[in-house]
Formats: sequence, structure tokens, C-alpha cells
Amino acid sequence: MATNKENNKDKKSRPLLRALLIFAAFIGIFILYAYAIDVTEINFTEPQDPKRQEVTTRVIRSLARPDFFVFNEEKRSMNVMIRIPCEGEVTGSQFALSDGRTVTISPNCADTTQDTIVITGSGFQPNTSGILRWYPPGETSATRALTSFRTDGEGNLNEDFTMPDIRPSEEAQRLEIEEKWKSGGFLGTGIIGFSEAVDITVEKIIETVLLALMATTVGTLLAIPVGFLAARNLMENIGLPLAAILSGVIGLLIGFMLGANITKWLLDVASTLTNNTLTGLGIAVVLLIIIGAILKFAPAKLSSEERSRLSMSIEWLRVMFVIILAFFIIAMLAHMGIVLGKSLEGSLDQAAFLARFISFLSEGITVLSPMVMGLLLGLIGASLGSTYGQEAILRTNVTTGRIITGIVSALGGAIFVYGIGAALNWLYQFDNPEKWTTYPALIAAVILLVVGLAANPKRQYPIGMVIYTALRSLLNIIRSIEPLIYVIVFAVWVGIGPFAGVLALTIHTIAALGKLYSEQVESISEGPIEAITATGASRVQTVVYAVVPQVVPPFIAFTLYRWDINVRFSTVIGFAGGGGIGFVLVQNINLLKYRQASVMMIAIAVVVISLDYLSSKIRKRII
Amino acid sequence: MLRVKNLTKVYEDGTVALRDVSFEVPDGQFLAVVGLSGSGKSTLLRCINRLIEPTEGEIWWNDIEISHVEGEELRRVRRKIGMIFQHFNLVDRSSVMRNVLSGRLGYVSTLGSVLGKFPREDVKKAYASLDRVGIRDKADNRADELSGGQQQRVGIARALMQDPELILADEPVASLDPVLAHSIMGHLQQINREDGITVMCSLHFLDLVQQYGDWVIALNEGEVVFEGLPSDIDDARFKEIYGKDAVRIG
Repeated sequence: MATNKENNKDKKSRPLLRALLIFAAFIGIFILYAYAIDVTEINFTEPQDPKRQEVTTRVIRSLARPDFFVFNEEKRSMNVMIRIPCEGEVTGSQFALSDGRTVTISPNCADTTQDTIVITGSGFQPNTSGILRWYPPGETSATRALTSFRTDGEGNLNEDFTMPDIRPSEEAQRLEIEEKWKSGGFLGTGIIGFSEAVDITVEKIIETVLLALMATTVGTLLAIPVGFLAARNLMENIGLPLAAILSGVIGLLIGFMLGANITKWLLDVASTLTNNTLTGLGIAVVLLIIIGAILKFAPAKLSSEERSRLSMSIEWLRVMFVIILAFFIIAMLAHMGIVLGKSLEGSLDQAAFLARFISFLSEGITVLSPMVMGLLLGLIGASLGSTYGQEAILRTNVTTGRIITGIVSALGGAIFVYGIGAALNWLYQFDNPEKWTTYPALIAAVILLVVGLAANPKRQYPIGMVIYTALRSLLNIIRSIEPLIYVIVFAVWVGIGPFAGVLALTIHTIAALGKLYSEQVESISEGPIEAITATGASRVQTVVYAVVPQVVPPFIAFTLYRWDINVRFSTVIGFAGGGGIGFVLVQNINLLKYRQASVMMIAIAVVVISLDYLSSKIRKRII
Repeated sequence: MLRVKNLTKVYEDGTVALRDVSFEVPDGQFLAVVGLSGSGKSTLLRCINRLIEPTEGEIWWNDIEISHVEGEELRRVRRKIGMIFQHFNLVDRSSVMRNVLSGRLGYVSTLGSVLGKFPREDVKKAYASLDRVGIRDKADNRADELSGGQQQRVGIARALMQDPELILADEPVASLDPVLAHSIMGHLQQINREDGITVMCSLHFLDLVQQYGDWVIALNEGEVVFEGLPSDIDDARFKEIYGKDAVRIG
């Protein structure tokens, strides 16, 4: 009974509580919006200020008349005379020309700047605009426009004007009536060509679209591996023994050092061998023949039913040898390419960009390949290291396992910690770097040695989730900063211009696409993964056979969507120094050239809308 | 010979899917596993090829304890155990040929298979497998263009590519109509009899069990409630397995 009563009481008090809550919420929302309007300076006074309205109107009207064309204009003028000040009787004066133009000004003189003078005329070009100008006495070039006029349908003109405050003179002063009209040109509209603004716009809009293309291409290539590594469903089941994880770290380091140094050495050798182009070509051909022979006469054994370690190792060596030879040829070609590109650039004038492209590719190979090969070999080293680490633990007894784990962990942990310390030292330039690199590495080595010896060597650690979490966090951080901010940093590094824009958009694209890709991988159907795993496939095989076919269409769709976003972004990235149309647009706006700016805004709209349409069409077809 | 000893599986949320399950499957047997949905049939099958990690117990297969093997050794075990699924689990957008060849992934080198290269004898074998299940002409079609019955035959061909000694079939006919069901079961029976491959097949319908099974184990809430010949399942046994309210329809 008692509880019942309490329940009732509870129910009764609820409406009141609810009302109070709602009231409090209202107050809260009221305060929120009041403050928001205050800080965002939204008000009704500024927009009503007549001066501001006038300026705005002028800007909008300029924007409405984009400066597209150059017109063929014809003009003719006629002189009339006026006296300042008045002498004697004030009358009107009439002037006439043989082509039928007659003009009357009344009065024919002025004393003050308030005196209104009426100018009437006939026989002018119908519906034509013109200007009335005053020429001061003497041969000065300083004229002043008095008024503009427009003739009616019959060629009559009727306009009032006043004279400016000018020095009186004995002589009569000259007024010029100038008519201007468009004639000839395209279909009689007077258009004889496109304006300079259009020329610049076309050039820059192409630059903009290509900027977006480069950023999307490079970004996509780098985002694909990221997308797989940041997919929870692929990563969450990866657990490895401590020894496997840390031998992976050791493998990564060894692979990177080997890759980078071997590549550098190969590049050096290639450059000395190609000092003479002919010998270089000869050697390249011979090497190609050797590769062909290896592939042809010693084909890869694909089946591994009962393969020995030895034959596996021979297989690996063979693959490595072919790759090194192939790279060597590429390196030689690159060196020759630089020379070739330089010599061609002079002889090809219009297509010089093609010669520059050859040089660019060649230079790119020599500059980037040590790093790329280092990373590649580093990854291979990491995967080999972790595989052999795991197998070593699985195949040996517990004691041996402990010893292996202890040694490998100490070594790998020391390398890892030293690496982090070195990175921090690079950033902050500590006074005594050993405190941040060597000592922590030694401490880590001791701790991991103890842990490795003490713990169960077969115990699995969720390395997959660690990589997943780290990568996801990194992507979120990178993505939260807009390309407009990145471009400021990159403009410092590579200078103001489209290249800085490409780098800024690329880095953002990697993060954004990496996230989209990984979410796509997470949403695929698990059935095929289960089935392929059950056949005894390795992890890499499972990804290639069960995951990749499922994600190809959405990946393409996302890439197109990103290209869309990048085009839109590249139109404004120039505002911060990133090149493209934004760069010239903001210049025109700052110079108050609104009619030119208008052309560029229209171009942006046209390009964005048409690419949007195009990519949505392609996306529909793919899915 | 497959021996399962005291196998227990407890999921992370506390659900006990298998409780102390023990049984033996002699080589060449067609073993039917029956039970209601959620009785642990799928979990049992997946524990054997380690798609699901068992919590406790031992799984002996050809005198190796496989419940804790890892890495390369696990792959070697898996490649000798084919699996067929209720929803076929084909890669829809890949060709039938590629789906069948993927059954060979445990045998070929990673590098070659990633580039899509398989030894010539494997391709021949794939055509032979497709021939065996009667859909050689569909080799170049995309998997999702095939009907359900055809897709399951691709699944069987894929399993055959593994040169399996054991085939695990998880409700292989539950998504098919009765006529197709008999055709698929016929293929499994043929593989079992002609190639001597052990088959462990979970089934819903008792008439299929009685027609194809050599031996039956019945699960209820993760426990073995019956083990014996299919013909021994009378009405009393039936109610033990499926519950008091169940009515025999097949």
C-alpha cells in the first residue's frame, strides 16, 4: 500500500517537474540565441544604411554584367562652344554639321555652377548613348565629363547639365558631344572577341580542374591501403604473439634501410652507366633480355603443395632479382630521360610541357624512389618479420619461445622507442637528445626483455586493434583541419601556387577517402570472407579474393564524389595561396573589378555543376 | 577420423553455444547434425575448421589436436576441410571460375594468386569440378547471375578444389526448394560415396536425414541429446530433440 501511494505521488509530481524542465529549456534556448545573435553581430541597422545600400547595389549591378566580350565600338563627335562667364545678352546658340547633326544650347553661357544649361539636338544616331565633355582652353589634355545622354528613337537628344567650377576665360570654351555605338562584329552585336578576363578565366579554370585531378589521384592511391588498415572487421581479429609483433618492427626497420640504401646505390650506378646515352641504352636492352629469359625459362612455381623452405627462398630471391633488375632499367631510363627532356624542351615550343613531363617523371623517379622502395621493403620486412616471428614461437617449446620473445622484444622495443624519441627530438630540438632517445630505448629493452621472458610466449596481443585505433584517430585529426589551413603551410614549403593547393587537397583527400573506404570495407557481407578463410587462404589472399571484389564499385563511386568535392574546394583554395581560379578571383575582388570577378564566379558555377552532373551519371552507371 | 572431446563454446556475451560436446566421425561417414535453430549446429561446424575459436575441449583430426594450431599450420588444416554454406557465400561480383579457383588458395603461392595467376592444372581441375556438378557452361558467368541451386553447386565445386578429406556443410539446402534440395544432397552423397570424403552436414528436415545420413547426432541448447542411426529417431526421440510441441511434417 505504501509503495502504491509513493508511486501515485511520483506520478503527480511529474507534470510539474516536466513543466519546470520545459521552462528551463526555453530559458536556456533563449539565452543561447540571444548570445549567438550578439556575437555574430546580426543587426538591422547596417543593412539599412543608404550608403552601404548604394555601394552594394553598384557591386551587384557590376556582377550582373560579367565582362565577357570585347566590342567593336564606333564613335563620332561634334563640338559646340560656350562662354564663361556670360557677356552681354544671354541667348541660345545653334550649331549644325553637314551630316545633319544640329545642336542648340541654351543659354550659351554660364556664370555659376548652379546655372542649368539645356542641350537639345537632332540628327544623331538613334538609341545611342553618349557623353558630353568639356575641354578647357589651351592644349591641355585634362577633359571633364559633364553628363551622359541617350538619344531617342528618332535620334533626338535632350539633356540638362551644369558647368563645373572653372576659371573664367576670354575665349569661348569647347564642349564635345560624343556618341558611341556598337557595330559590326558577330551578327551585328559588335562582339569582336572575348575579354581578357575570359582568357584568364579559361586558363585558370583548367588549372583548377587539373589541380583537383592531381589531388584526387594521389590521394586515392594513398587512401586505398589506409582504407583497409582502418577497417574494423579486417583488423579486430588480428592478434599476434609479442615476438611476432616486435620482429615485425625489426623487419620494418631493416627493410626500410635496405630498400632506401640499395635504391640509392642502384641510382648512382645507373647514373654513371648512362653518362654515354648509347652505352646506357645498350645495357638496358641486355638487362631486358635477361629479365625476359628468367621469366620465360624459369617460370614461377605457383603450387605449393609440399614445398620446401629452400624452394620458397629461391622463389623469393628470383622475384627480388627481377624486381631489382627492372628497377635498375627504370633508373637508367630516368637518368637518360632527364637529359632527353632538357634537350627536347628547347626544340618543342608548343608541346614543351611534354618534354618537361619526361624530365619531371625522371626526376620524380630519382627523388622519390629511395623513399618508396624503402617503405615497400619496410612493409615486406614487417610482414616477413611477423610471420617468421609467429612461426618461430609456434614451432618451439615454451622455454625457447621465452628466450626468443625476450631477445626479439628487447631489440624491437628499443628500436620502436628510439624511433619515437628521435621524432620528438626533431620536433622540439631537446638540449640533450640522449635523454629522449637512447635512455628510454634501453629502459624499454630491459622491461620488454623481462616481460618477454616472464610471459607466456604464445599469448596473443591485439595488434590489429592497436593499428586500427591509431590510424582512425590520425585520420580524424587530419580530416578535422580544412585544406585552406594546410595550404598555408604548404605555400611556405613549395611557394604560393597550384602545387601548394595540390598538396593541401591531397592530404585532406587521403584522410577523408581513407575513412569512407574503411567504412565501406566494414559494411561488406561477411559470408565470402568466411568462405575464403575456410579454404586455408592467407590474410592477404582473403582480402584480395573476398573483400576487394565487393568494394570496387563503391570505391570508384567515392573517388568520383571526392573529385567533385576537390573541384569545388580548388576554386577557393587560391584564396589562401593555393593557385587555381580562386587566386585570380580574390585579386579581382580586391581591385574592385567586379565585372571580371563575375566572369570567374560564373565559370566556377558552370564547372562545378557540370562535373557534379557528370560524376553522378558515372556513379549511377557503376553501382 | 575426427574426434571431438568435451567441446565447449561460450560467446563473449555469455551465451553457451556448445556444452561439453563429444563424438567421433569415422572416415567416410555421412554424419547428419540435427537440431532447432540456435541449438549450436553452426557453431559446432565452425569450431572444427576454427572459423570460431572453441572455448574448451579438444578436436583431434588425423591424430593432430587442431583446436589450438595457428598460422601456417592452421592454414594447412583448413585447406583439407571444405565448407559449404547455407547462403552459398560466393563472391557475387566475381566469375564462377574465380569463385571455384579460390578453393585452391590454400595451396598456391600468395604472390601468384594475388595477381590472379593459377597453375594450369588447377584451372583444369576447376573445369572438372564444375563438370562434376553439371555447370561447366557457366564458368564465365558472374556468380550472382546464377540461380540458388546453381550457386550452391559452385559452392560444392569450390570445396572440391581443396582436395578435402572432410566437408562441413552448414544447412546446405535450407535456402533451396525441395527439388533442388535433393539434387544438392545427391551431389554431396556422391562425393561421400565415390571419393570417400567424410561429410558432416547439418540439416533441418528429418526425411533428408533419414535418406542421406549414415549416422545422426542431435543437438539441443548446445548439448548432444541423441546419437545413433537415423532410423532410430522415432516419435519419442523426435520430441526429445525438437521439444514437446513439435509436430513432424517431413
